[in-house]
Amino acid sequence: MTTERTCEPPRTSAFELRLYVVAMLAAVYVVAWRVIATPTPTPTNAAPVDGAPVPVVSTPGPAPAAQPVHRTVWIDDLPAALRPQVVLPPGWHVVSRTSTASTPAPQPRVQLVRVPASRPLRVRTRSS
Amino acid sequence: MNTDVTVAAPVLDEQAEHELARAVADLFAETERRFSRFRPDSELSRLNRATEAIDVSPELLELLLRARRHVADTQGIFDPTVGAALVAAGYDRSFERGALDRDTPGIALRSQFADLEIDEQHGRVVRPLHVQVDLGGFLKGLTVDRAARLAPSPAVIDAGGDAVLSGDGPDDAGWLVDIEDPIDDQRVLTTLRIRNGAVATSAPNRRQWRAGTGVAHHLIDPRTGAPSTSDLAQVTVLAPTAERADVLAKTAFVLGRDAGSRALERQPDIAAVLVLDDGSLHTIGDLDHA
Repeated sequence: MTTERTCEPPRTSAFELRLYVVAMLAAVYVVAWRVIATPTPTPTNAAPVDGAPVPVVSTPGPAPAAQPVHRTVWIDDLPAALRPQVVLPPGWHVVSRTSTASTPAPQPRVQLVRVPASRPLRVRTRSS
Repeated sequence: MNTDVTVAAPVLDEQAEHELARAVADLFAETERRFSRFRPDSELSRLNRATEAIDVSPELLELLLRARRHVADTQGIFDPTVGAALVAAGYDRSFERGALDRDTPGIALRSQFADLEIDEQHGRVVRPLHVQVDLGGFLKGLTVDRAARLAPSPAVIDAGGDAVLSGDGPDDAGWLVDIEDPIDDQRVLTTLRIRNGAVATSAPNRRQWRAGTGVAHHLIDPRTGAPSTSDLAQVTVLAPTAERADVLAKTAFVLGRDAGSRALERQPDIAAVLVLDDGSLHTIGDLDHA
């Protein structure tokens, strides 16, 4: 005589179900927070070197215009800061207490072109 | 001079070409370091901050005297004292697309090179506070000319469209120069053959930004202190030197189709391609189309 035995799936308790739902919601929230809610820089979020936030910078000139600078680092000695050719990420500015707000200009890049006899070199003239 | 520089010297071996490229890179970097208005530590910026008479280096003095000649030759249409107007228009830093956009247009400012007092004998300059000097209108062309003198002919030195093409090209048929369409940068309007010459192009398309509800660009009309409202879309000038081509291309653009054409036709050693607002071409002088 044989007896068939059916294996019933383990029952999930209500508590375990709630725990699962909460864990899933938490994971979704964390992913959304990291991907979607990128913090928007505000003038008060400037990254100060000496602790002083920089909400506004005035540009010099006959008609100075104040403009908010969102990501700013105070540098006391601008020439010294520029000397090692600091390259800042896009959107960052080096600000001197006494000089113009500016970002170091990128260095010119030189491309060497070997001229093969099989294909003529074409120079493209355009405004730059 | 936010640009890439292309060097080609087919008569040199690979090592010599690399040495040439290094020398050209050093030349451009040095020029940028000393005379860029975007570098607060440059000699030019020091002049632009001076509130009283200052001594300038012989090199900067030479550049100022060259600028003065260009101003005289173009009756003031080319004027390097548009620096303040450029800043007012929004061009207050090295150009990057989108970085100059602003919600309010700048106030137009007018100054003229004659306001600058240059004591040639003592190398001293007095700058009125409203004057800001910007040498970018001819300095790149001049630097290309200087770089070309480092290379044996035939050779090409091309700095973002300002180019010197020496010799008859690698196959003695001239160097091929494509003139880019200012509306569609993937398209070429026409191709020229150039032998022992220089070329420069001026157009607002690559350096323009939003200013209020309008568009500003870097080609300032000294007569108004504001970006030029030319009826031209682009001017390409062929000249013996890149510096001259640079100056004349900007001048012709600001003057517009009629006055610009007349100004170029008066020059004996110049050829040009003017692109009108409607996309049609108007050529001046002898051009060798490929």
